[in-house]
Amino acid sequence: MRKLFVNLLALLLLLTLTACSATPYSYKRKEAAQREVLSLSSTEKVLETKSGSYKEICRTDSQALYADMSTGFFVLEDLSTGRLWFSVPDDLEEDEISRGILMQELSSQIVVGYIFREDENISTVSRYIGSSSGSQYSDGITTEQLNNGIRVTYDFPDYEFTIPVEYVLEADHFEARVLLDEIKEDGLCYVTEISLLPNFGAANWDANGYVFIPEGSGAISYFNKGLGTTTYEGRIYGSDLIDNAEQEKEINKEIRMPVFSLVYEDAAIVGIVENGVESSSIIAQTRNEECGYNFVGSRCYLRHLFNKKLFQTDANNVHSFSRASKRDSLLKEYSVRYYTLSSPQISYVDVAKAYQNYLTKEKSLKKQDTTPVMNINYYGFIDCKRFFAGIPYTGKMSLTSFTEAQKFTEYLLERQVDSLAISYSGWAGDGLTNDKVQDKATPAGKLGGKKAFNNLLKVLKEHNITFSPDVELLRFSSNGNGYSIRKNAARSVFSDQMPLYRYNVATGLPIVENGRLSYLLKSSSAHTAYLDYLKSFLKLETKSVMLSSLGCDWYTSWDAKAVEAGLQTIDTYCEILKAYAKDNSIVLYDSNAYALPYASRIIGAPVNSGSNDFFSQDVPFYEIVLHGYIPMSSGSLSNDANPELAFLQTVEAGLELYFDGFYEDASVLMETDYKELYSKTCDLWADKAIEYYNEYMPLLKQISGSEIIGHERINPTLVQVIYDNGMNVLVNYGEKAANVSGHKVDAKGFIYWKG
Amino acid sequence: MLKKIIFFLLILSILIGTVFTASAETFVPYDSYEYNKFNEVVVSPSGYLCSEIVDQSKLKLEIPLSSPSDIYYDGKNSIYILDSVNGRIVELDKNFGLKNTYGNFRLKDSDTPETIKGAEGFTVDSEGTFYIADTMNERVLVIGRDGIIKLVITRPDEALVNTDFPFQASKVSVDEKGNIYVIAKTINMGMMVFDKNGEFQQFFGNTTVVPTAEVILNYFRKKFLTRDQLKGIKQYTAMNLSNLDVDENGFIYTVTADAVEEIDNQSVRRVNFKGDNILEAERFGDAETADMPSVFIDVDVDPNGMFFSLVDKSGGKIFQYTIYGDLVSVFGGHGEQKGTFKTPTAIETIDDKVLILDSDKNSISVFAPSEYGAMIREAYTKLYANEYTEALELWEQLREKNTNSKLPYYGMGLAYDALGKYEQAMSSFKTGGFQEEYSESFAEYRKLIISKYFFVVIFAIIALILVIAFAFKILFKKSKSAGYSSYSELETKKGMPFYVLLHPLDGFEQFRRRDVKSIPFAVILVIGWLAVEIFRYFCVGFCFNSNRASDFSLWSIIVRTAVIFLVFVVSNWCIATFMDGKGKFKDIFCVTAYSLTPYIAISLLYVLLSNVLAMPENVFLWIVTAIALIWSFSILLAGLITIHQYSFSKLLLSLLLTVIGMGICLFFMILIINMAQMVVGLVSSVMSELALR
Repeated sequence: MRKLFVNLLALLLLLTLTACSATPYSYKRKEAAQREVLSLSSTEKVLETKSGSYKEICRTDSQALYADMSTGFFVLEDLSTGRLWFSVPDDLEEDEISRGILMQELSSQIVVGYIFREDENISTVSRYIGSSSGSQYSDGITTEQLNNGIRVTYDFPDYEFTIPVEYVLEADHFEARVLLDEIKEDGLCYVTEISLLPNFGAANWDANGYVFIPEGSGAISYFNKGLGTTTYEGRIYGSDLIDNAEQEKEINKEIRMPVFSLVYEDAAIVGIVENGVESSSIIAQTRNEECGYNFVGSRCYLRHLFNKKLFQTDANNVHSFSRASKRDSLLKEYSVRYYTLSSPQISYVDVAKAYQNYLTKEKSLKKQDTTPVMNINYYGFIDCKRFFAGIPYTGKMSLTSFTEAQKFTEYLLERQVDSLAISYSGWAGDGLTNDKVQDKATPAGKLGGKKAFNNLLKVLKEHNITFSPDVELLRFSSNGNGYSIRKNAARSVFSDQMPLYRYNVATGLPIVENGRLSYLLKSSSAHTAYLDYLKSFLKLETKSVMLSSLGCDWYTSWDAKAVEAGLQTIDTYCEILKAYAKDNSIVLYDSNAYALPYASRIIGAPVNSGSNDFFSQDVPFYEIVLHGYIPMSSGSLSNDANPELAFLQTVEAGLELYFDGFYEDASVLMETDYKELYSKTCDLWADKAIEYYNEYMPLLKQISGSEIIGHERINPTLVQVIYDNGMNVLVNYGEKAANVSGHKVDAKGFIYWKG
Repeated sequence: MLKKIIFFLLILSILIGTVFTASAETFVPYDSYEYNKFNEVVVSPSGYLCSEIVDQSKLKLEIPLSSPSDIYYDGKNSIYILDSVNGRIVELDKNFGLKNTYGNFRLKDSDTPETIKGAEGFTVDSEGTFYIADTMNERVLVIGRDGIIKLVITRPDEALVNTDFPFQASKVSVDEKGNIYVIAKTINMGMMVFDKNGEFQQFFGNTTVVPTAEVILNYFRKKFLTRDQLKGIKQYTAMNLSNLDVDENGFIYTVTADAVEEIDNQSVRRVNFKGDNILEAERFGDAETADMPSVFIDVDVDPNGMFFSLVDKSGGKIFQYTIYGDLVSVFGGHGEQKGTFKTPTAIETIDDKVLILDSDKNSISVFAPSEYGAMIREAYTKLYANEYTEALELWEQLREKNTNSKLPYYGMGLAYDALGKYEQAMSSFKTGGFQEEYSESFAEYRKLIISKYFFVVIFAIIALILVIAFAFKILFKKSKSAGYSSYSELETKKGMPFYVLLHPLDGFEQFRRRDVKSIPFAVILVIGWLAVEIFRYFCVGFCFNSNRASDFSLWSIIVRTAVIFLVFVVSNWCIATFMDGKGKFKDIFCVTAYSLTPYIAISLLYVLLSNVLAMPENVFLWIVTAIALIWSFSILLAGLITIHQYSFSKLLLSLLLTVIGMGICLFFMILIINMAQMVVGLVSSVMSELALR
């Protein structure tokens, strides 16, 4: 995705030379003070600023909206402090760095990408960018006043499309909506993407503060750091698995929550993508050699461009083919909410609280009462190559049988490790291999069958341990049970079923010649598969289920004949989750925001960002939002290269512990495709798990139901976290012991106190 | 490409599976890996993690770094950066605090500053004198701390009479005696050594062209080619060195920038004072050379002299090896994340930390060993310091930390071996796939066994010899005709395969006269050959067997035995019809099958021997194999000459034609398979084009 952004920037520059012979931007020079409110009549106020005058449109208890009806520019006032948020920077004329196309973009409320209709099916599709700066297209802009805001229609006559956008004030927030349904594009071009209010509230060269991006656990990038990488784009919910199947492997963390923020010293503006999340990305920039401002916003992709390699005559001569997807017909509106915050000392914690507030009010996120546990995931069985009298065949290899799982759980119980939650992957069907789409929840005979399964269940119930079998039906690799690759696999825009390749870890390239291929079930089929399965799953009476892939795996099927786009996928996932949630508590893995209302526990919550060069620092935003609401655990600690560091990060984020593994000796994996599970044998990490449990559980018991209200990095190696019940946790990553207000914390250790 | 598509489709239909990810807690933006005993890449825990980025936001320089090209740590408390575009040297302390900047270098008695803009390499000696390879200005400068240039080294024309290339000095190093080693990127005759007064001494440590068959062939071909044709031929010249580092013992590590097959084993070298490479390992960098061969642009030796690290420009990765060439860790990669690089340019090591200078990001990435990485380094250090008990303990822990890795088995094996526990050493080496080391431990172990059970061993050997002798005795006895009959006990249908072992001419002669050939027996022999090949695949002793159980393919063994057998018989039969051979198809079939008997029998002996011999004794296996082949081949020749009633010269001709016939036969088989593949490929690509248009 980032590559794409670079490409776009390159194209932008190209455009300066070609498509856009823009009239130079001229500013209305005014010697006015920054803010001057004149009262023309008793009802209509006018706001005079450096860049023009804005008339009041409407106001609520907390915010007021002013607009320039000729350009569509507007100003949002936070009435509690009087702070103004400009839709395009007010002091553009003072910017000494930005020029050309970037200057034009800075003075635009929307920036549009498009392709020429006739280019749609040729071998290379060039994408162009047009922006709607008020003065350039002043003829093309029509504004009309609504009850609670304005409606601006941006007309791009050269490219023959118009885009209507509404800017409105709601009870406690401001909202910008692109009315996708009403876009007219019957002419020359297709719209591919729209960046909405990219410069809203943009921070200039003097400002102090940072841009907040929710990648992974969350990260911030300071304003005006002025070096290294200064642009960012990341797809919300991560990149499409189908889209990226043939690309080089990307090792990254995904954006799990559709929220972004510009945080100044005493005020912040928080954007939350409300509609169109699944098609959007978050874009951000800090000041660099070409652009004087720091900003963050979102961009919605209406059509996705795909490239397909047809054949290759030599390394440099690849013949490829491009095609744009159809539009997601379910997606009627792309809207972003903006909340304004102000307080003397504002930080990402306040942003997290604002988003938490939004989730509880709008997305029915509820507090859950649970006792903290240590999470353990067992791996059932895999398939492997076996020999019978010298003849090879595919056999099954048990990694953890039900009896072995019971044995190891009892081993932990004997050592007073009794707050546990168990999940089990590869316990039925074809094990971890996901060969056919399963239709019945039958405990695998290879692992001991139904009897051993029930014994395990009984023992776990006696000790009050939740047991969540993992149900994963999205991936499959052969026909059967009424599902076939031809009919039910998700397809790319070129109508071919996209396999998920394994990657060569040295080169990062997909292994095309010698790999196991699995396919993804398209969402309509996934819906039936999961709901059919549920009937037989309920008979197991586990009362809990792990739906590991529904929270984090993200893909669409762009097959031209039957588009199943992002919104449909999300709706399907939510329906499945809802159906399962009726009789079960649901465990998710590293969950995206849409699944949060259904989750009773999240395994593998992110504690890092993808450490992009753009970021200055990671923050545990994800945990601040959800702590006290949904119990969460860290990623697996069983075979980490740096377990000590990973443990401290878990403590900092207030997460439960998570170990995964199996009973068998790990060396059996050496000749299989499951080498990633190295060193996960239970024996190898049991002592470590017990040690961490004893060290951390006393603290976790005191914080598990509480919200994080403070998080501060005192110095690069020392972090303090404050919970709403008064608990303080101090984590020291450093090599030396540290002392904070009388509390001494050992090197690579943590302490906690109340008050 | 078509083949690839076919292959892909085939695989697609055969293989089924899933993509499985198991993520760990600590986020690392690159995969770490190592190679297993079959030279396949496998994931491993990260040995190094990026702990810090030192960039402008930390350095706070007045003029920020701009394309820095080299970095140097003086071993005490100073890190120097050659800031190429700004033409200056920046000095930092060990914690990356700014200490000083040096620029505006002047010649003595001159006020105009000399620019070093574009300099690519430098070094600092123990007194703090700078040696700068001033690439763009074609010179090497020696500059004091006061900024006064003490010495200017320019092109040593007397040494470079054979070439017109300029003296673009790109890297420089200095030894304790003050000798200056210079690498010029334009000159491929090795390092240039200058004394401390700047006088040229010699060329040193040049890479050599290895005379492979292709190189020699081209040498002769060139003599017959026109000048235009010559241009099309690959040139084999020594490669330019790209960088060097001197370790504490005075050995010089060099790397070459170009990854060319001919100098593969010289891409990384450790050169002694004579200029010879003393590094044992030959392969460095990624084994997947076809995709992206590793190109090394810098090398750095750890302060303790135990490890060295290489910077691979093409993958943007850092490879760390022990001085014996064992891979310790791989980290980094291209990317825009902390811990990945845009253009990694230079490497330096401070204690156990690795510093990578990125000339595009204008930053230093600091990598520190993870718990796993620190442990593996310590384990190697202890092992090479002969502290075997401690090393053993560490290696055992490492085996638990990374159950995929072969390295712990190597370390444990060496430690066990040194501690005299040969049995454990053998089992470790066997698990890790280290044949040579296994063989050495095995030889020691065998000594112990022999001295312990001397008489038993002697008895076993004598028994074996007796068994063989007895078998021969019976064979001799039974193949002699008894008094009452003109034929011996073995000259029957069942006995004939054994009779021909000693009397092939006589035995096969009887094929035409009496009904003594047995097709079922021949078939059994062919199946026996198949079985014995399978037996050999799995049961040959580990010293001589690098077969992999999971690679076993029954089909390939059938092709190698039964199919080849049939093709030979058919081909010989065809030739015989042309050449008046008297033998019938059945005759040829039986003769060929019967000739397999010695090979099958001796193969069993081979397997037995391979399990009690160590590698240096492989000559015995050669002898055994040779006996088997000569014996079998003699029977075959005798058989064919008899049944076809050929003269010896005609026999040889017919054999030659048979082999050619087999070739043609196989050629057609392959051709048909290929054609089928191409047709399917054509259809599928036409279909995909049609579908997309």
